[in-house]
Amino acid sequence: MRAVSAGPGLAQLVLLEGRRLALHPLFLAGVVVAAGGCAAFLARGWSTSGWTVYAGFALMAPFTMVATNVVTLRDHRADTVEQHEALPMPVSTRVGALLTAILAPTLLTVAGLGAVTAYAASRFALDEVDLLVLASLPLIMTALAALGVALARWMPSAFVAPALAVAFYFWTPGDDPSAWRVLMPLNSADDTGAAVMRLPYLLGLTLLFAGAALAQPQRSRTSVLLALVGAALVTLSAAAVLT
Amino acid sequence: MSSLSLENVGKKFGSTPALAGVRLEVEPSVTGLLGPNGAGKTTLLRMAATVLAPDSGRIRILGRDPAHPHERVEIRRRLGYVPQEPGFYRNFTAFDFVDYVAVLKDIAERRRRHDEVRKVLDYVGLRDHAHQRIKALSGGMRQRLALAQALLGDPELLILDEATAGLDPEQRLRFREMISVLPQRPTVLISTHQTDDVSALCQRVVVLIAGTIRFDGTPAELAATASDRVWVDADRDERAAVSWRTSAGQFRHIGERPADAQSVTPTVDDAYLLLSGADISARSS
Repeated sequence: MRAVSAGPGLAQLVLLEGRRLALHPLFLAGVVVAAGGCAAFLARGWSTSGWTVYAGFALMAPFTMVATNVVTLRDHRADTVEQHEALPMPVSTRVGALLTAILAPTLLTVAGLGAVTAYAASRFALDEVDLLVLASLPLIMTALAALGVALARWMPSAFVAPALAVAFYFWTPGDDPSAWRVLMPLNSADDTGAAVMRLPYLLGLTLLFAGAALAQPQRSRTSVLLALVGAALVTLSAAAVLT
Repeated sequence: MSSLSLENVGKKFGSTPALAGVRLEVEPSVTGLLGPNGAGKTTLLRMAATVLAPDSGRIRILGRDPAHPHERVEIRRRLGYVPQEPGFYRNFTAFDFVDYVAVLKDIAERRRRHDEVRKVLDYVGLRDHAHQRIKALSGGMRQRLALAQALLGDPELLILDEATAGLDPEQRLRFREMISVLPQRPTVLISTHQTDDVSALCQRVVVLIAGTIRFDGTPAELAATASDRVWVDADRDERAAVSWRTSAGQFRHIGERPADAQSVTPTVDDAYLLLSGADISARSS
């Protein structure tokens, strides 16, 4: 059965889901880890302060990915899929609302990141690469959060997202000079060119994962468009990084 | 106009037929759907709730075609549905859960939505538990919560799939009371195994067996189909199709009554057992 366009409840659903995501225990755990990491690193007065702030905040993204995954899996866990199917709001709209609601934890992250960056900048010299790397953090957050939703739509299992979060952590050695490592979401770039190209790359990943999430159970014009634009951004920026 | 109309509807799961050539018109009233397990009741109700499409035949719900996406949304705005095993977000409070469903039901304006949520929780007697987490509610309270979410927006058609299953006698009486005095008097389609619920609640009863409708009429008419086929005796009669010892110590028999046996007034239960031919050898000693 084909879905129809969003109803008037979409904005309300975005607000409800946004509040739930921002207060989700896994996201809050990520906040605690980020705050602890930043405090510990900054207290040591490391000279590469941009990276230390990055290292603290980057850990929030896998936590948020698992949080969005858990929230998306709510209907499977509670066995409410059929019950909610009999309601007027189509599942594509609900997934769209959840993807939009990712903005809530992201905006909170931006606020926290802004405060910590301002503090770090007052104590240390932040160069251009530092600032570009820090600017990529909210996009890492949106990309992994959208991936959490997409995983739940395509592989409705509670184990996939946590396993991937752990895998991301181990696949991200900071001292590996291989160019392709820069393409790992949690990694970062150490030159301006790669740091710049990671921004459209991460935006592309966000759109690609959002399109994939919306395409289950049925493709729509929006899901295809998001996936195509995302894939184009990912391909072009990855090519620029690797060449 | 019928609230629900099924014309020659068929549905198979694999090679197993669930419904075969079902024709049914449901007018505004409380209609009970009786039938043994696997008779096709849930399949029929899922179709009426727009979550399952038929393989053959035609369905119209509240005058609209559920196969058409926009008409389906209009139906869903006017529909309340409690599935056989309603699910809940256990960590939500009762209020938050119903509020969430209200959003999915396109009740967008916040104040109106919250008023509506309070109204349905009040109606099912959960006002004092509104801010309690669902995992802390009893089974009966959860069943009432399922009804509350189905009542959002004053539905014109209320579909309840075995909504009294698992309720204790007091809760079932409360449930009957709630359904029988619904303020907007919607069309209610309720499936159940409880023949006494049908007798107490329903103006009409449909008996579904092996995917086909075997009876359609009032509960009194259903009971009347067993006239002269129910008798009681001090001893068990081997000629009866079904017999059991009653609380009075006598055996109640259903089947082809022997000429020498004294017939008694049949109940809906007797008639349903005759129709379904259930093998309930409740020959307790």
